[in-house]
Amino acid sequence: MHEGYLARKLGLGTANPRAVDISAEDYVDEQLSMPIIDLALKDNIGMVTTKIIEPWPQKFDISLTEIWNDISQYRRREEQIRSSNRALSSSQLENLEILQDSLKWYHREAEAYRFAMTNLYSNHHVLNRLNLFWYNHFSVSGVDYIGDYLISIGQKLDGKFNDLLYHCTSHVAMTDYLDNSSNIGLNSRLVKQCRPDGVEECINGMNDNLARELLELHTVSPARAYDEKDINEAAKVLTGWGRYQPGNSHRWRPSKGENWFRDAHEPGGKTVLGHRIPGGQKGLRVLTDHLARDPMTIQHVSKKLLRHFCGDPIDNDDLDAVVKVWNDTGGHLPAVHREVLIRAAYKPNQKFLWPLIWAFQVMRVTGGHPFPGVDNVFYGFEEKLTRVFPKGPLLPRSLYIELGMDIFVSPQTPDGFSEEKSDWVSNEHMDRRLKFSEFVFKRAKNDAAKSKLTPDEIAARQRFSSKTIQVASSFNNDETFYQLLMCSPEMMEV
Amino acid sequence: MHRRGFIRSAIRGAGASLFLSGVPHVGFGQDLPAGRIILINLQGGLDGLAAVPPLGDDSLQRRRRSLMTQVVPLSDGFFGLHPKLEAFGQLYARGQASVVHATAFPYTKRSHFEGQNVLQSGVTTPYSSTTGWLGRAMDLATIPGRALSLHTPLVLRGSLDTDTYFPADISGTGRPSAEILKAFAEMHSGDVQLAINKLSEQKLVREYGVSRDPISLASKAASALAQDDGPRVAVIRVDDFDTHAGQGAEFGNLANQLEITDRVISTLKVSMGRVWSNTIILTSTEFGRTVAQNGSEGTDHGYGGVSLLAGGLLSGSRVVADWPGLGKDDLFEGRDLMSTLDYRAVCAACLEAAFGLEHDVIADQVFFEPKLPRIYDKLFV
Repeated sequence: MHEGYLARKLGLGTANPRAVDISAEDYVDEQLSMPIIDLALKDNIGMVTTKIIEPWPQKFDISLTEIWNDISQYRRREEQIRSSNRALSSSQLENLEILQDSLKWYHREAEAYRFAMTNLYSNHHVLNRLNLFWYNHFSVSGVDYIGDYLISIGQKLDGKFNDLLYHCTSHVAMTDYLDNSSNIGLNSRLVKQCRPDGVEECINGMNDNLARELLELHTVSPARAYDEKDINEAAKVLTGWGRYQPGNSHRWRPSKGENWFRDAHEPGGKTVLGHRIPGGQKGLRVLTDHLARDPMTIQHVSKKLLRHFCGDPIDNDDLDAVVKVWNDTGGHLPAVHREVLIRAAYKPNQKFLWPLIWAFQVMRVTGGHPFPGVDNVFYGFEEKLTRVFPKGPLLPRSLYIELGMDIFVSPQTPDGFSEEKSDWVSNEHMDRRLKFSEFVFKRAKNDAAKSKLTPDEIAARQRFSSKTIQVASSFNNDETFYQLLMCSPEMMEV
Repeated sequence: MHRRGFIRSAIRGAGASLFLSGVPHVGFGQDLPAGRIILINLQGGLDGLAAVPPLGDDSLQRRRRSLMTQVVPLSDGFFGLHPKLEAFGQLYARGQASVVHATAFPYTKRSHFEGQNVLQSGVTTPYSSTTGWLGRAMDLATIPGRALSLHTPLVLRGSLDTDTYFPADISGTGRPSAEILKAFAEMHSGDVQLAINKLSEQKLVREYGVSRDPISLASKAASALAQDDGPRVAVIRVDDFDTHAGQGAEFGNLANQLEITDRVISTLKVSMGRVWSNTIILTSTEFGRTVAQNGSEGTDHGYGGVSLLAGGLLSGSRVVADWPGLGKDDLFEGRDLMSTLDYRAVCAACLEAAFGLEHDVIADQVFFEPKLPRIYDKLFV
């Protein structure tokens, strides 16, 4: 098979497909065998590119602890102002809001940029696409720690599904997003401590948000016919997971360096879907392992993977084969991915690509992109808690927003972005595709170590159909030729 | 919350989107229904017991020690209105707003996604319909549509064409020429080609520079709805009603979202002019929330809830409720407000008032529920 096709069908596209065909099996094995490495484009502020691709700069690698420290610093400042004056003046309030904006803005732009650069320069882009798939499956939005969450999902793709499930469920981005940080056992130490003083200052009680989505979206799905008692018991298992905020009570302290707060945990065993789950921190691991093995989970997640790569309708033979691999390997993700990807490669079905996947493919097959270099984006980054915003012609997150796929802060609910074609086909979506193609043509710089390709070169390298080339080239100007190639069926529906 | 804080949250907000529908295509007949329907979709599950608390039911206070606030009594004083619903309260005082309480779509499993699907499709089995109840009603009234959004929401999907419009913000790009669009369409087939053709038809009437916050979108909707040849339907989505944590009382997360909703309604009222007399606004949400507050000063997914209605088509202000009570034995599964009215009956009454469709036709062909009760008289007579 042609590598240009395989790269677009299974990954994020390539500007330099091999001239000689490669088997789908070999291509998938090659792609899945590479480790994920973060990359960045070194660039100068004046847009005079130095064009150096390098590993992600360590100084911009924001750890969970650093983010936590930044947030704590913000909260301490807030506390200082509040305790000294009691009532905040409007300027103090504004100052705090600016600090908070700055903190969140930098973190999110940094994460969005890092995501873009990795997708643009990666040679193992099939894994990057799988990374996006799983991030969308375990969807979070609008919370801190998303960068670490997204990257850490990628690092789990060479392991088993139960490890990934446990990792995502217990990650601070997820526990924050689905309110588990305030899911407190009714018989926990925390609640018992509160009682002698009366309940005035204590926040205590259950919150089943994460438990509900864990069952409905991430694992067994409603087809498992669980009931409210299962959700309630799963919520009890989850009590204690999350970085607890000081809240109203000064007695509350987060566990240092851990996303676990023993004092909030509901003691004792629980029963979920008939499985006995022990109390304590290890209970969650037992629960997620049971859920990962459940046949309904395997069905549900296999269907989602097939839908993402093959489109609808799902072939029962494909589903049976993927489920069999899942069962044979205990949910070993490389094996499951391999089965899905090879089946997708041979499938005549075409999948209408998410706008974001399409956009990365446009940039990658072109050999150029419109984003500023890393130093330009992160200018002022080390001056944390000041309002120095990065500058650039188009920051990656703006692109995600314009395409209706802001994966960092989105109105999207926890079920993630839709795999339904009908949700992505509208005249406005078509307008955005034309506009983004035009933008890339006009603004893209040469990619590092490559030249930006002409429309003729792209059409030849990607082996577009004669009909597409005939229609797109009929205008006799390169901009329209390029626009139409990028919006052709070969690019949008693969 | 501080005023500035509110405005910031309204503007950055929370996801909001506007879908305008029923824009007559060029050459379309002049005999469109006069009425306008505006659906405000409160996504996340509105806590109806906080928006319109039953003051006459003392069970609520005991179960919600930190979520109660002073409210404005309605009618006979059994129900009250959250103080952030100020403009809605004024409309109520003038006979142009009503409340339907203890109501829900027939869906009890408390999932946002299934609940939104039922809410928008109007059928009882989630994911079993590719069209929405407003879209099917528009088909019956032969109204073509336009959605002001990147996506076409399920609720507006029918068998007739619906196109979309949403202001783009990619600097340095222009409008594609008719020739480019023609070539673009020629390369594709099916629904993609159809979407490109709609883009081509719409090209001449596009506008730029429209803000995307819910209140600006409401203003945009109102000015379009006010035109004789303007749209007949608008759907505005306001997010963030999923108040599991820090729900608040007079101030806080829910109060902010109610204030946004209130300003959406008041903006519509102010900007629609004379068309207001032919308008019905209704809110919808996927489910209500638990009667008792949870451990994070919020409420969890529940069942029965409330709907706010406003507009000149109403024949006066009233609270429509067959109140089930909040005692332990009165609750759905021991935890949620029971629904005593299928909310689709409210939707059907609004469709009857705005589009002049017969109830039996709506029940049969829009909601596929021939026995759906008719409550038109309770709201519009």
